Amino acid sequence: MAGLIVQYTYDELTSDGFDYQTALSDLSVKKKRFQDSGDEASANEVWRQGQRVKIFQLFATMHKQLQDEEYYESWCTADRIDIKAGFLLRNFPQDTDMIGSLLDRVHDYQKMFPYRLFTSTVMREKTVRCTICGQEVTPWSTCTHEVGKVYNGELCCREIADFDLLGADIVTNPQHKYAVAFLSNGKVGGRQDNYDYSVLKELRKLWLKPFQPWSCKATTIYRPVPKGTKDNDLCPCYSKPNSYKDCCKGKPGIESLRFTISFQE
Amino acid sequence: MIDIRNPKFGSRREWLKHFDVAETAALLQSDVLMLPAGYCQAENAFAAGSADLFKKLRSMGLNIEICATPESYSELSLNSREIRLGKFVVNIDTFGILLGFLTSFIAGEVSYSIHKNDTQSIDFTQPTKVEVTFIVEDTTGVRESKEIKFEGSADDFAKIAESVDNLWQD
Repeated sequence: MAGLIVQYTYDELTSDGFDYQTALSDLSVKKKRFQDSGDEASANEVWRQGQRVKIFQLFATMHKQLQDEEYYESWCTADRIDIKAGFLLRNFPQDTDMIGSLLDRVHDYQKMFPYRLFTSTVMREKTVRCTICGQEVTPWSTCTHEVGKVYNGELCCREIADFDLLGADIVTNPQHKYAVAFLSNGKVGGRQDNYDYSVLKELRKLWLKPFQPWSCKATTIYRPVPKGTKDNDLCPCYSKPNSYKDCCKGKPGIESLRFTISFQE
Repeated sequence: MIDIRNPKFGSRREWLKHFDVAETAALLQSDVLMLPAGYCQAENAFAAGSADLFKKLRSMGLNIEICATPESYSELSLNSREIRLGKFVVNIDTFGILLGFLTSFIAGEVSYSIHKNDTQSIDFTQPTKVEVTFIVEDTTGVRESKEIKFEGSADDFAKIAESVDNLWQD
């Protein structure tokens, strides 16, 4: 049965005229048919094809958002690709051949963003349910579904049905990268974006087609310490929520990164 | 980083009493007992994902119990990207087996989205960190239990096994 499922190739998924939405609609109909007939292997295979299509679609979206200078939105799309790719590779590790180079580019892209500090919530999860069987997940429940695995064409996740919010932290290595720390825009509300996107602006000029291959290497450099920097000021490297004296003081300068981007024909 | 010290409580009975869980033969005699992680925000809560991990370890054949009741069970989610395995009381004879299972579990968790690590200055590109505490019991009952706390990269997790030889050395 799985043989009847169309296998999209890398060349198809990266071609100019590929219609991601139509492909996803077709796959959705097929998946339902397999699910209804109890053909789990085929339903899982359709899920796999759907994840591939979504990853390539999101990659094109991420590129467009960069071109439109929607930097934060593009950052969030990169995170969605990373998450989807993680679930795809957990179930189908052999798909590294298909999406590995794309994922490397996403990771390189994420490094070029100026975001280093993120908000993170602390939650006491009181009721957690399995999205496959709906059972509450506790050590005593009989649910045997594994989070992150695909069952009959659906991904097993955990749904937090009841929780207490205990606090929020600033972290440098977040579970959810979309939670970028922004200043609020005073009484007006909304986000105040003071980040320096100069690296991305340079990339934007060179990265003209979404699936054009490129790679990037980051090198540590040291900038002169800005005049007037005091020991207890937030360190001008902005890599951690540390004071200057606990961060870059004692180094040859303010630690920074230089990116060398190589484009292939 | 591996830190070896004396645990807060020396026996399972004291842990069960501390967390207000009734003693049963199964809880006292299992090879492994999962404890609340001991976070200051919620001392009785387990690390996020503990229920899934508990069931996985049991399905692998480990004789494991958990120091909680269905009424009091909750998990604490700290959203920085780290594998928090929580706290285990384990007898010395089973310690190696538990480490093997956890090593395999960690490998499964970290292998899907690895960043090319060409800079140390961006935390979110660094290898996934692991945090776990073991309270190792001497099965003969002659020596006092020892606590091993590990915080480090997933790649270094296997080094815990090397620390076992030094557990009861002065």
